[in-house]
Amino acid sequence: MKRKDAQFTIAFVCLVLSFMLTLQFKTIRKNSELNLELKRASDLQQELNNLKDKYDDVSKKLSKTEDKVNEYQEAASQSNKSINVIKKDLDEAGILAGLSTVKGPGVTVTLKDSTLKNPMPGTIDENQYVIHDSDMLLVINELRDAGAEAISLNDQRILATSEVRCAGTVISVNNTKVAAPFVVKAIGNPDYLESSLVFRGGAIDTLKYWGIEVNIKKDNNLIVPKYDGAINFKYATPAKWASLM
Amino acid sequence: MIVSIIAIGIGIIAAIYMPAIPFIYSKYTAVAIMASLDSVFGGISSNIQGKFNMGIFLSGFFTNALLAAALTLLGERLGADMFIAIIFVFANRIFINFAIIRRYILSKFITKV
Repeated sequence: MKRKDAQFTIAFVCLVLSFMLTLQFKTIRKNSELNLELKRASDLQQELNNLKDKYDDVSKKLSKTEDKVNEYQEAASQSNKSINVIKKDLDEAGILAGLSTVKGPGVTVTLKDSTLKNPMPGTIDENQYVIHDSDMLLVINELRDAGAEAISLNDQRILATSEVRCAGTVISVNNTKVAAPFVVKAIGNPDYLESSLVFRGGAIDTLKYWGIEVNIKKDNNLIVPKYDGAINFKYATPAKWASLM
Repeated sequence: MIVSIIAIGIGIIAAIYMPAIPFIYSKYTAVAIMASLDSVFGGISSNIQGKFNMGIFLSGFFTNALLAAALTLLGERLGADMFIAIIFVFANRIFINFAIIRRYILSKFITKV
């Protein structure tokens, strides 16, 4: 009797143990890519360095490939008239899409955080003395209204899909964090661009009230950089091919 | 003996059909398993020495597992991560008990030359 009791208890223990073991194996295998907590800091550091190197290599390769493609396009457009037309369309689309560096007349707008002191720290919101994403968006909107053809914020080209959003103490543009002072470059008619910002009651007036320093400089040969990242459309597909212009 | 093997089979099959444990808790189940393994080896080694006690074995099996998980949790909350230390302790005991089992098997089945 005792023997049988012992047997069943041991069997029960075996059942529990094998159950736990298999369950644990399953969990760990399922999450093996995310196995971060069990990895040591030095392993993670190594992995991060490797990934950084890999990223740099891939970036270099990408710019080389892009140069090659441009070469081919140039060569093709010189020898063939119809390709020349298509290449022109492509260039203009590239400017609009933010894929090519643009030069031309325009303005450089620099915004610096306020150096004024908050006279009533309890009553007046401290945040009003800091530049916000809404301020940047206001400036960009006014520039667009004045006919800006290419805009960049701290050397991040503003695309149709670019976000300009507060991220803690900095602003995130194209998934890159940029901090004050904010430099907006816009290519267009320098006079129109400047006046769109300085008129009474406009963007500059509002910002100057809080002491945010705005500096506008006209330039006849401004360069707006191209968008550096990867473009990947997961949801949008072209509905119908139409002439670009 | 056969019952144990059937039980092991049932355990494995049951675990295959159960959903996986959330990954955050996997640390605690890992220590619990180490504790359970240790009490199994402890049970076998005490059986060899004739000192086997079912009550101690069963109670030790479950309470050690619970205590190990609780200690890891406590260590995490205290800011003194004890995960590796607890694993070390159980691994150490497994080795000691396994050495006893090994000596017994060798002495029983292999005659000295």
